Amino acid sequence: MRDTRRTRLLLGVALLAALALIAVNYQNGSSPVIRVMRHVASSVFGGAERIVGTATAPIGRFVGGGLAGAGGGQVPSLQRKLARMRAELSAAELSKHDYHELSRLLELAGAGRYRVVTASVIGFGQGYQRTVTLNAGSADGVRPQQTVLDGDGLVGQVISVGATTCTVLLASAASSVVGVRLAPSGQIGWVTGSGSGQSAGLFKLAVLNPGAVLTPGEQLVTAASVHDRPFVPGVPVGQIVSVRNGAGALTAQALVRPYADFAALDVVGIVITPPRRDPHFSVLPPKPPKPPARKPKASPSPSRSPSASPSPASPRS
Amino acid sequence: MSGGLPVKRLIVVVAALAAVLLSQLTIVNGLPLPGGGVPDLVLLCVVAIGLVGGPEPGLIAGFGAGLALDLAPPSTALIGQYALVFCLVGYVSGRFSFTLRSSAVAALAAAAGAAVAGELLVGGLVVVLDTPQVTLATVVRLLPSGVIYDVVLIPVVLFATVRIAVALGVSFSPLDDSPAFETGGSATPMGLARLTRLRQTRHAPAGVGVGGWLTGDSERSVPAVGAVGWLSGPATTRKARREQARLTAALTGAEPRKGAVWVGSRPAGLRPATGSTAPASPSGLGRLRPDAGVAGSAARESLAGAAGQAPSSRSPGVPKIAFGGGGATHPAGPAADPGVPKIAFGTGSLPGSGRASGRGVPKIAFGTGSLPGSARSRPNGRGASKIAFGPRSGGRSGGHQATKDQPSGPGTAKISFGTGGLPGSGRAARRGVPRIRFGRGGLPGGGRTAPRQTPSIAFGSGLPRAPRTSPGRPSLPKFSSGSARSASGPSLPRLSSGSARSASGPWLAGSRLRSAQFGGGAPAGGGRRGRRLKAARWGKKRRYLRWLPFPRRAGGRSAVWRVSRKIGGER
Repeated sequence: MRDTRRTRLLLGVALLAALALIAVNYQNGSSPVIRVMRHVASSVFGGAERIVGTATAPIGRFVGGGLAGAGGGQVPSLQRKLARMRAELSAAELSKHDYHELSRLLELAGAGRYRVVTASVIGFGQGYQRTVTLNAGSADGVRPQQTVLDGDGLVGQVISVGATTCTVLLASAASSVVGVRLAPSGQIGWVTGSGSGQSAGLFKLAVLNPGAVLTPGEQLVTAASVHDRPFVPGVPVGQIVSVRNGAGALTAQALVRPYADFAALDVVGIVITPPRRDPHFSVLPPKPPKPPARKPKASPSPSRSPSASPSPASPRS
Repeated sequence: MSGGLPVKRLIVVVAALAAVLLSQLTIVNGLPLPGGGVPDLVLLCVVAIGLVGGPEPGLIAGFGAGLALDLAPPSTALIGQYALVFCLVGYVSGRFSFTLRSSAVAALAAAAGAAVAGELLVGGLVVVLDTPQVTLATVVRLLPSGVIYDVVLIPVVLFATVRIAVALGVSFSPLDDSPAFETGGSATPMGLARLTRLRQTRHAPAGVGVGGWLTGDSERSVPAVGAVGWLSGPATTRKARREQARLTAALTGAEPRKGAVWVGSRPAGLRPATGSTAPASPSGLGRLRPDAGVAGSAARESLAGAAGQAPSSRSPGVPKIAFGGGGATHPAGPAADPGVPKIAFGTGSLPGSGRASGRGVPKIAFGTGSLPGSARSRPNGRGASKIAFGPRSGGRSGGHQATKDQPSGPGTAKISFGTGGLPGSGRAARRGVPRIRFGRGGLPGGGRTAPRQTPSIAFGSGLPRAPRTSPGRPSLPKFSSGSARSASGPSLPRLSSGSARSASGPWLAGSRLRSAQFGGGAPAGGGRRGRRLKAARWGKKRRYLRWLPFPRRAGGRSAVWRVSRKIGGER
C-alpha cells in the first residue's frame, strides 16, 4: 500500500522494460521479439475484439449514425453491397477513362478480377493513431498492403494481418501517402492524411507537375501501385476543396476532402486480387478465371509499367 | 493490498482492465465526440487502481494495461510507450492514495491531476516517438477534448473502483495507511511482523481469532497499528513516514524509545479488542461484505443521524446501501440504520459516515477510511439508547456542525462528527468526561488550562490548537496526544466508569491501557505527567482545503499527543 523500496525497485524495472521495448521497436520494428509480441497480441486481443465488436456493433452504430434515424438490419448488408459495387465501379471507370488508351496500347485486355471481402470495423486505434481493426484476417485471404474502401471511397490499406483480424492504416493518418490521379486532367500526385487547424479532416494533395492547374471540385482517384499494392487504381479518394497558391513550390498543392467518412466507418471492403494470376498478366490477356469470387468483375490491369514488373513470382498466390 | 494480495482481487483487476481495454478499443475510440478526442478509460482505470490500491498495484496495473494497449491489434504505436506512461501514472497516483482516506475532494483532484498528467505524457511521447504517424498538430487538436472528457469521467471511474474495492474487502481506513506496515524501513519494528500477519488474516471469516490484543477487535478490519500515522495525518514525505513508523513502533512496544512516549489515550489503531463489538458483525452487512472490515457500521449510524436523530427509525432494517461497512455492524449501528445512508461507500466503516450524518449529511462520503473515530463511535452504539442523536454535534465545535449543544456535551454522548474521521471526534465522545471541553471553539485558554491541571484535553474545534500551542508551550511537557487520561493509565478504569455513560463507554473498555502494547509507553507517560508540560500541539495545521465542505483530512485534528523530547512544539 505504501511506497516501499520494493515498490521503487518495481517501478524501476517497469520503466526500464518499457524503455527497452521502445528502443527495440524504434530501431527495428520488425525484430523477432516485436513480431512475436504483436502476433500473440493480435490473436488474443484480436479475437476478443472480434467477439466484443460483434456484440457491441449495434451500440457503435447507433451512436455513430443511428441518431439520424438510420436503422434496421439491412443497413449493413446494403453497405456491404455498396462497398462491393464501388470497387467494381472503380474498375469500370478506370477502364473507361484513364486506362482505356493505355490498356489498348499495351493490349491489356486482361480482365483483372477483383475480389472484395467485406468486413466490419471492430476496433479503433488508441490515442492519436489512425488505425482500425477489421474482422477479416488471413483466413479470409487478407494480406498486408491491400486496399480498403467503403461505399464512399478509399479508406486505407491493410498494414498487418492476424488470423481473423487485420489492421488498417486509414488514409487520413499522417503517415499515409496515397498516389492519386486527377480525374479529368490525369495529373499524378499524392495525398497525405492529417490536415491540421482549419483543414482538419482534409487531405493534402501534392501534384508532381508544378505547373498543373488545380481547380476546386476536381476529383481524385487512386493511381495504380506496383502490383496493385497497396492501392488498386481507380478508387475515388476525394475532391479538391481549395487550392494552395504554391508559387515557387516544387509541387502544386491543394486540400482534398475525402469521400469516405473516417469518423463513421463501419462496413468496408478489402480488395483482394485473384490469388492465381498469370505472371504475364501485364502483357497478355489472361484467361478468364474461374470465378471463385462472389462478384467477379472484369477490370484492366492497373500495372503502369508492365515491362518493369514481370513479377515472375507472384507474391499473392 | 500490499499484504498478501488476494487472488480474488487480482482476478477482478485483470478482468476489469481487460473489459475496459476492449470497450475502449471497440467502442469508445470510435465515438465521434465533439472535439475529436475521446476519453481514455484505460488511463482512468489505472489512475483509480493506483489511488485505491497504492503505488505497487498501480504501477503493475499501469504497465500491464499500457502494454496491452501497445499490442492490441489496431495499435501501430511503438511497443512500450503506453506501458511507460501508464506505469508512471499508476505509481504516482498510488502515491496519492492517502487522499482517498482523508478527503473525497482531494482524492478526486489527485485523480484528475494524474489523468491529465497521463494524457499529457502520452501526447508528448507520441509526438516525440511516433513522428511520422502523429504530428504535433494532431495532438494539439485532440488533446484538449480528450483531457476534458477524462476529467469529466474520472469521478465516475473512481466511484466505481472504490465500490468494487470495498466489495472486495479493501479497507479505506486511514489506519491501514500506516507506515508501520511499511517494510524495508529501518523503522519497522520487529513486533510489527506479527501484526502484519494478523492483518493479513483479516479477511478470514468472522469469528476467526486473530489473537493477541487484536483478538478482541470486533471489526474484522482491524485498524491496527497505524494509529500513529493516522493521528498525525497521512505522512506525505518519506521522512515523515519514517518518523511515524518509528513512533508507532515505540508505541506498540516493539521498540520502545527513550525519546518518544505516548501519553494519553491509546492511539486509535491500537484499540484493544472490545469483545462486544465483534459479535455484532454478523448482521446483514456481513452479507454485503463478507470480507469487509469495519466500515459499514459507521454508515449506519450516520443514517440514523440523517434520520434526524430519530431513534425510532432504528429499524433493524439493514441500510439499503452500506458499502464498505463491513461487518461493522454494531448493534448500535443497526439501530441507527434505519436512516439508510444515502451513499456511504468507499470506505467501509466510514467514519465519515458517522460524521456525515452529523453534518449536513454529505451524500457521498467516501474515501475516508474507517476512521477510528467511527469505530469508536460505534461502540457507542452498544448503549444505543445512550446515544443521543440530537446532541451529537457537540463534540467538535470545530466541526462543521454547528455545535448545537456544546454545553450539553458532558451529559450526552458526545459524539463529534463533523470533521473527517477525526479520531478526536470519537474520542471526544468517549471522553465525555467533564474535563473535556468541547466545542468551545476557540477557547484556547480552556484547553490550555485543562491540560495543566490534568492532562485533559480540549478538543473540539481545531481552532483552539493554534492558540494553545503558543501559550502551552513553555510549560507543558511536550506531548502530543490525546487525553489526559491516557497518561494516567491506571486511572482509566475510573474514567471509563465515570464517562461510560457516553458512547465512550465501550471505547474505554476497549482501551484498557493494560494491554501490553502500551505497557511501555503508558507508564512513562505517567511519569512524565508530573513534569512540567511543555507544549501540546495539535497536528500541524492544514489549512488547505479547509474551506471545502467535505471532510477534512483525517489527521487534521489529533487527539493524541505525542510526547517526546524533541517534538516540543512541532508536529
